[in-house]
Amino acid sequence: MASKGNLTLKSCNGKEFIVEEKVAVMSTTIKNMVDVDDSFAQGVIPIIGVDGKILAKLIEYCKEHAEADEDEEVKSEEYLKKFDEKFVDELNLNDLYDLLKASNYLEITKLLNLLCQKVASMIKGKKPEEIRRIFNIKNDFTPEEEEEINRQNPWAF
Amino acid sequence: MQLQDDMEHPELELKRRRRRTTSIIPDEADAEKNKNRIGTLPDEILIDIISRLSLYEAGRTSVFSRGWRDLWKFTSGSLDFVGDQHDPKTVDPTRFLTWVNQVLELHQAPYVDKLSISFRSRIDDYDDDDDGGSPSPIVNSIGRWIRFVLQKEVRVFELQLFPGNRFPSPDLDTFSSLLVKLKSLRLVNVNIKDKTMEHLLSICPYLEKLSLEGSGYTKYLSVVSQSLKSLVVKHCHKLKSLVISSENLVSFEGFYNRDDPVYFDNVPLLSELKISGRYCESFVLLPQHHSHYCGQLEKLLLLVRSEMMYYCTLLFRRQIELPRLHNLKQLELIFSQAGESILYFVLFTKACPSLSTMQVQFTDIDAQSQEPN
Repeated sequence: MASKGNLTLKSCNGKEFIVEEKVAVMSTTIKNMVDVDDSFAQGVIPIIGVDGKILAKLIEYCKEHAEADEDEEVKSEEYLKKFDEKFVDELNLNDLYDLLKASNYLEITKLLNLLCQKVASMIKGKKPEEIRRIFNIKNDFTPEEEEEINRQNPWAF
Repeated sequence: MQLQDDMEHPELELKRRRRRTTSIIPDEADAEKNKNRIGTLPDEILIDIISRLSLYEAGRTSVFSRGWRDLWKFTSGSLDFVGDQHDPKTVDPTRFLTWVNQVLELHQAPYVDKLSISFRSRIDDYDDDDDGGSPSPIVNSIGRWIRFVLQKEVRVFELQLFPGNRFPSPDLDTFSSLLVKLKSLRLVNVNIKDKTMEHLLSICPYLEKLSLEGSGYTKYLSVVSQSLKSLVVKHCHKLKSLVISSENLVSFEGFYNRDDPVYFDNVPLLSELKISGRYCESFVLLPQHHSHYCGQLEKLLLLVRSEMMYYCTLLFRRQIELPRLHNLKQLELIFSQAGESILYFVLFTKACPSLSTMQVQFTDIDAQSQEPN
C-alpha cells in the first residue's frame, strides 16, 4: 500500500506504480475518483485500458509537469517546452495513439493538447495521399463515391 | 471492423468509438493489425486534431476515407476563408461566396473559435449609385455571418473586403441579441455607417479588440465600450471626428489625415499609442492638444512621413514646446527617409525622462499611408 501522499496506480496488465498524489491528480479523472471516494486514496486505483508501458509514459510526463507547477524556478517554461518536444518526438505512431486515448480517458488536458498538436503538425502542409501513407489510412471510397466527393466537395481539386 | 461500421452508419451524427477498451501492444510481426489505427481513435480526439488545422487542411481530411469524410464539419478551431491566388474558387467572387456559405451551412459543431472571411478579388457587378439595383450578395450575407457568430459563439470575427469597394453599409440594426462571446472584431474595407457600428458595439459587451479599417462610411464615430482594450481605426478617409470613451482601453492605433479628430474621454488605462498621418503631426506640433492623455503613455510609435519631417526640422530650429511624456518607456520612430528632422526627436527624448528603449526605422511609409480622397 502506498504511504500517505502517494497513490498506487495499476495498469490493465497488472503493473503497479506508486506515484505522488500531486502527479496522479494531473489526471482529472483520477482527481475526481480520489475526491469522491477516499478508499481510492488508500488502495489501488485501476487504470482501465492502459498498459504498463503507456502508464509509465503518462507518469513520466505528469511528473515533470507537476514538479514544474510546484516550482517554476527548477523547471522553467523553456525546460518544459524542450521536455515536451522530446517527449512527443520519441513516440512511435502506436504509442502516440495509445497515449492519445489514455490522456483523453484520464483527462490529462495538457498532454492531450500536446499530442493532438503533434498529430496536427504531421498533417499540415501535406497532400492527402502522403497523409494516408503516414497514418496507414486506407482509402475505402468506391470509385463512384470518390468521383462524387471530387464533384461535390469544395476541397478536392 | 471500423470500415464496416462506417458503411452501415454513414450518418453525420457523432459516434463515440469505444471499440477497444484494452490497449493493443503493437506486434511488429502483425503489421496488418495496425492498419488504420488512427481510425480507432474516438471521434472527439480526431476532431480535436482537425480543429488545430486551417480550414483548407481540415476540409481536405474529408477525402482520406469514409471514416474521415464528415469529421471536418465538427471543427471548432478556425474557419478561415482566405483567398488563395492558386485556388480558382477564391478568385471568382461568386464561387467564393458560395463556398463560404456552403461551408457555414455544413458546419456542425456547436462552437467555433474564429471566423475569418477575406475577399481578395474585386467584384464589379455592383454599384451603389444605381438605387434600383439589388444589394450585393456579400452585403446580404454579412447579416447571415453575424448570425453565425451569434449561434456558434464565435470569439474572433474578421471580415475583409477588397479595397475601394462601394458596397453599402450592412443593415445590422435588426440584431438585438448580445454577442456575448465575441472578443475580437476586425472589419477591413467594410463600409459601415456610424450608427450601425455603434449599434454593433452596444451588442458586444465583452469585446476586447476592435479594428475598423478602410470604412468609407465612417464619419463621426463614437466608440463607447467598457470592455474594449485595444482599438484600431485607420484608413477611414472620410472620418471627421472620433470620440473614444472606454475605461479599459490600453492601446489605440490611428492612421488618418485629420488634424485632431480623436477626443479621448475617460481612458484612464490608455498607455500605448501608434499613430501616423496628420494625427501624428498634430501630436508633435500641437502638444497642448494632447496633454490630457499623453502623460500616461508608456509606448509610443510615430510614423513620420516626409512632409512631416519638414515641420520637425523647423521645430528643431525653433525649439518650441515638446509633448510631456513623463511615463514613456518605449519610443519607436519610423521615418520615410533620413534627414535633419531626426535631430528634433533627439530633443523629443528629453521630454521622456522614463524612456528605456528607442527604436528607429527607415522605410517607405509614404506609399503605405497614402489615402484616397
